[in-house]
Amino acid sequence: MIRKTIFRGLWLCSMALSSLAIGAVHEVKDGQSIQAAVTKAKAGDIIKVFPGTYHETIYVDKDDISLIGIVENGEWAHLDGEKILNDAILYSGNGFSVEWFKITKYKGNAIMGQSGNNFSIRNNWVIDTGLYGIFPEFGHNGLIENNILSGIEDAAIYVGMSDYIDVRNNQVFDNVAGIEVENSRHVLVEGNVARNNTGGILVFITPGLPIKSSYDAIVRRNFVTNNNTPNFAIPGSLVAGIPSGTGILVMSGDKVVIEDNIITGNNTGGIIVTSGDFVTEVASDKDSDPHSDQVEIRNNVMFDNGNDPDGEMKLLMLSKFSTKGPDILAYQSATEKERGSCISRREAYRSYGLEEWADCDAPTVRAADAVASASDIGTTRQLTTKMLEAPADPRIITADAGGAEVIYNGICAGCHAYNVRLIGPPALVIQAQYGDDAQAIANYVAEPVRRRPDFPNMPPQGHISEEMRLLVAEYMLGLDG
Amino acid sequence: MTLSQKLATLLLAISALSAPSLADDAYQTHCASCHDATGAGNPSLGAPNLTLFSSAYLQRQLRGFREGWRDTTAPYTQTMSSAVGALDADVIAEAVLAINRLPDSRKISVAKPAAGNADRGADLYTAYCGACHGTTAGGNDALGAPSLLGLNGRYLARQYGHFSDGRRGFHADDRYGKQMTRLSRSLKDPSLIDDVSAYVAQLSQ
Repeated sequence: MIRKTIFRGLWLCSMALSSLAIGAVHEVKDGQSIQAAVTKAKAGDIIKVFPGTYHETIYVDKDDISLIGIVENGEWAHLDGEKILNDAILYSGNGFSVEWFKITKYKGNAIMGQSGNNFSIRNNWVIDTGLYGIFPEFGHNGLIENNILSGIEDAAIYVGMSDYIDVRNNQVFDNVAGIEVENSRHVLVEGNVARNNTGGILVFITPGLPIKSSYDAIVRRNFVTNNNTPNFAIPGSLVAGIPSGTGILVMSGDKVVIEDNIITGNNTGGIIVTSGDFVTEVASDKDSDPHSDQVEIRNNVMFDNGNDPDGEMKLLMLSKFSTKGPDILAYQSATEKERGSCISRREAYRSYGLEEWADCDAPTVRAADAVASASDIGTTRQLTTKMLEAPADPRIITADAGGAEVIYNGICAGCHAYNVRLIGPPALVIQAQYGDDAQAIANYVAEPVRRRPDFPNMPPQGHISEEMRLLVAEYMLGLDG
Repeated sequence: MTLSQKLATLLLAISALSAPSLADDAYQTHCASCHDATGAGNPSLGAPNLTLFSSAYLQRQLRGFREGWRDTTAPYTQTMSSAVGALDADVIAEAVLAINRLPDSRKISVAKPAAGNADRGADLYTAYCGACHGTTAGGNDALGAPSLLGLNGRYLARQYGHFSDGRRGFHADDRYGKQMTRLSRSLKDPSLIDDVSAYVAQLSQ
């Protein structure tokens, strides 16, 4: 433990020194272009953006760039998409950090990571940026901390196909999904406020994505309250199936610890643990396990949940002779003993479907334990982070089929699953539409034309070279699950 | 407005005045005996409801029947191919005009297949069909996808089978049919088609 701390300290120092030593500082003032500064910058540089309103999409494809908004007397560096632009900040470089931006009125994403590793996204204020707020896709080792997000029609914070991620101390409200951990591994979701969303915190597997599992997540010390906003996702999309009034939902996630949270006032249920058929009955992915295994629910303070269950959940509860929803519901295969899940202080909660669950420990924490973090039996208190002790190897996009796979995972899979409707049409539909004509796809994605009125516009991908677009299209046409 | 534009407007006005009776005649004479005077179709003859198809789709399929896009060993297809083969192009155009004027009769011929599970059908439809045929099955001409509303389960299952068996969507010129053929390789279990049909029937209410 002590050795680890010293090691981490040294690493942080060396990182700080190296960026201080080699990084130039570029300043961007109101009326100037942030992208122009990024284009000029070299690895290790810092870009300071002064208060003002900036209408642009910023692409960062080089490593170790820091974008820092300057806030003066409450005036922010404000990225405003005016509901014309799709994305505020897209990064594929490694070692990217972004902080102190106010980002409003984009159609797609506020900040989307497209396969970059070792990222840090902190202190941003995001309002109504379309489908996603902060969305690192296919990244390893990242920190999402102290951000405030509202008005997002899919997920405010969406950890997608990523590993070794901390999501700490954010506030998310008035979104469809507050925090989503989707097809991701080794994630800590701690100390966040998730209130007044349709669903507060979700850990699940979306079938038909390139990464097939979601496991090792800790959801700890969050405030998950009053998530009763009517679902305003695009009809037909996967998140449109989340019942309003959901506090925490675990769907197909394994080894999920839900500990020390305060979960109140969620009208369908406080915690729902279920399997892949909860939102779609045809979630067929031969490589994904649809069951939620080894879920541990410990020591959460819960009351006032289930006052008015939504839709099908209401019918389910009526079948159990209750008009109210539960604090905790195990549903579908999650009720089975062989799933290996456990609950502490089960008698404290109004729960359904947990009869076969084991009991697990939730020891009383005395003041001395809390200070020293000494107690490591039956809690996760001794664990402070899921991030890596040393940075992950940088993700390198090679100019071949391997690079095409990284691009597909980092960009395309954010909206296209194989046989499930996410944001864009499923990949198998694209395959049927284009046959073996990869070139037609490569051309289309550079300048997409809207052909499906009930789907959002596809954002143009012309920043990817023609050669790589063709390789990515070939990769997509070769997918089979 | 230039002289030629004025002339064109005048001609359009004349054709609009004269078209209904001619067009209606063409439809009632050549189509109505199977597809019904209302256009609602006749399941016992395998004739689909035509009233929710777009004119682009109707024209393309009529061309297909004339040019051999459909395998004529299936009896209903054979009937339709020989019926269309005997008609002049202008009669076909008039019939299409008449079909477009028929009132939407989605409710008449839609029977929910007894075997279908509409809930599962909804999920299947969303995953496999909705991206082209539309979230509410109204069709999308930009993708060559017809409306499925008002089509009964037997017709839908038969056509889906034709695509997956290679009886439809095989011709080099049938671009959109080929899309459907490729898609039909994804969903082979016939009971699943019943589920989708049950959901489409529900959307058609």
